[in-house]
Amino acid sequence: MRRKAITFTALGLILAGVVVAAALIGPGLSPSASLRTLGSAFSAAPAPADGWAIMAHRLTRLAAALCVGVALAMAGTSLQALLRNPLADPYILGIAAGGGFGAAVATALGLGGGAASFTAVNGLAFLGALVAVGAGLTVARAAGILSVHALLLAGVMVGAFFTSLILLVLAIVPARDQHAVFLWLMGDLGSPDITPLKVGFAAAAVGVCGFALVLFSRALDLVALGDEGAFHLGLGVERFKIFILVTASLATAAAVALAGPIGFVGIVVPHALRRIIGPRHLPLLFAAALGGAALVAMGDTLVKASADYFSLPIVPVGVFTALIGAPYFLVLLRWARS
Amino acid sequence: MRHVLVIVIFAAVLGGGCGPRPAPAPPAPPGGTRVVVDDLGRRVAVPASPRRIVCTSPELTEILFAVGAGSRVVGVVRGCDWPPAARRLPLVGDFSNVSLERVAALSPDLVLATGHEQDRMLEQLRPLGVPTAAFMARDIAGVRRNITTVGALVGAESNARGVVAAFDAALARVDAEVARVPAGRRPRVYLEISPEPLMTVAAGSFVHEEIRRAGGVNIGADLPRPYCRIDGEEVIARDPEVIILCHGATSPRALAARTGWRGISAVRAGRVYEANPDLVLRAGPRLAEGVAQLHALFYRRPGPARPKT
Repeated sequence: MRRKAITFTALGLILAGVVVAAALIGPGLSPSASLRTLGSAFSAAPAPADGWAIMAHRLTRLAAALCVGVALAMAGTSLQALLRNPLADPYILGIAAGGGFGAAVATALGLGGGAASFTAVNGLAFLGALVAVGAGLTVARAAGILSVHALLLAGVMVGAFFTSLILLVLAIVPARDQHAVFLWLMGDLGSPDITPLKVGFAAAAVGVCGFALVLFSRALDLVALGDEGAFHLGLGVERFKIFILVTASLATAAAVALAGPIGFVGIVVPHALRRIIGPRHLPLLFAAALGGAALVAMGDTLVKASADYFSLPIVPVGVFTALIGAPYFLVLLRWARS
Repeated sequence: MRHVLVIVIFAAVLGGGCGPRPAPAPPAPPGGTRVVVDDLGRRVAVPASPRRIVCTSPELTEILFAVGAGSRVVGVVRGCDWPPAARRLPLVGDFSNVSLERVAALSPDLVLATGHEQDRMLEQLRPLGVPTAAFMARDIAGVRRNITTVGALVGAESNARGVVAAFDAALARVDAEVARVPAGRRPRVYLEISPEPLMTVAAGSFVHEEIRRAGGVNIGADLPRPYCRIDGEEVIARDPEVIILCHGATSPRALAARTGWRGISAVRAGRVYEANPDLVLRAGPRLAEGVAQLHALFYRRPGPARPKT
């Protein structure tokens, strides 16, 4: 119990720190000017010129980061339970590749760019992600039984298929579109086309899905024990497994449609937190939401700050999360074995 | 083991049958060859008067046609779309993916390429025995020089002089207009070359020089690379008075919908314009037109105060 309290306090503090840093750091406005801008909301002091426009841009980006982090970490937690596999992440069933294909097609057709509402890139990415999961689900579900093994295999194959479709698109589009597709595939929050409206849509989807997963957290505990255990405990296992799969996939698809497939958040965060606070899914889901939000926002703030203060190239956040995520996982593996 | 053997034999037979043959001797050029130094610093022997030219770069294709050597171009890459006659020529691939076989099949006596990103392709062309020359412009002076050099290369010196004179005259007209604008009255300009990722130009690119020449002040001048990513936040902070979209992927209306961009001076004043990337971003003879277009946009009377959404 104490361990959980400490973990949650720590996660809360880290997230708060990251949010403050993300709100104050950026190339357009110094931290003190940012503070004055935010302060002007509560006092008569005037905000610096452009202050609110820049803060709107920055806070939208932060909100997108938090939303994506929550979605990926919660979806990862659920899928690791559902597939009873610590290597499962939200992309294991081909969602990233499906979404990537959708985004690549939208870019290739010249439908990229534009911020007015949900653009073709967002829409087709979302659609592609759902088609990928749907295909895996259809293959793996026979006679009302969802086989976890078949689901994993089907997911990997669907992913491979969509990856080859992405490569096909990349091979035939001009270089300029290739850059756009590559950037999207890395997972990037820097696009000025990420508007509050889009973040709002994604946040709503993630909120509903997250709430549903929390509601069924007890059932997740049982499923994680294995089909037989869950069956004997009187759970409508098959229906429930599909429900979890669809819910987690919807949240992931919303995140992918917003910012592209940002990697390793959905695998590292649940994995690490499960080791710290144990396998029960109610606290785990909440902790993962906090941790995922903190990790993505921190990564995005770091890439922003490194570009700003050290004149480094602007790097997509997805590159950063993969860069720290993969070594972390390797270290964890080494420890677990010794 | 036997399989390996079979494969090895098979490969040997295939290789012997279809491998690169000795380069077909190019038709003996009248007037022999001469040596030029190209922009990659290579000394290359080219025919004194090339008759079958493959050109793998849009701006060099434009130069070839402008100096009257268009009829000697036998192959181009996708994107070589100006003048319209260039579109009817056989394609040897994409700008970044040239098919050596197709080049060879056209039996050219000269391949013209850009030094940007095509240096490796030139290396691969070496075994074909076809003379290659690469030219790239880093500034407007470089564009002029390329017109002259390429003109000389195809034996069209006097035509090239005419093209350069027209180029200079067009620029001089813009210079004269700009000279009347006091330095403090020149608009701050953000010129976007790509929306995803967001990219603009900095000092060291010929596009930056175009902005200056057209009477604008580039807000991205101090960015670390000639063609550089920029954070949307930074564009808002630098508050350009004119925004030029030079990629065709985003309309001025869509730009106004970007988060926080509505307050930028250029957006508020309705001074967000699209420029033709083929004129502005192509280091060819039409670059002077590009500068004139930029100048016209910089000093156009503002449109409606606020773009409708």
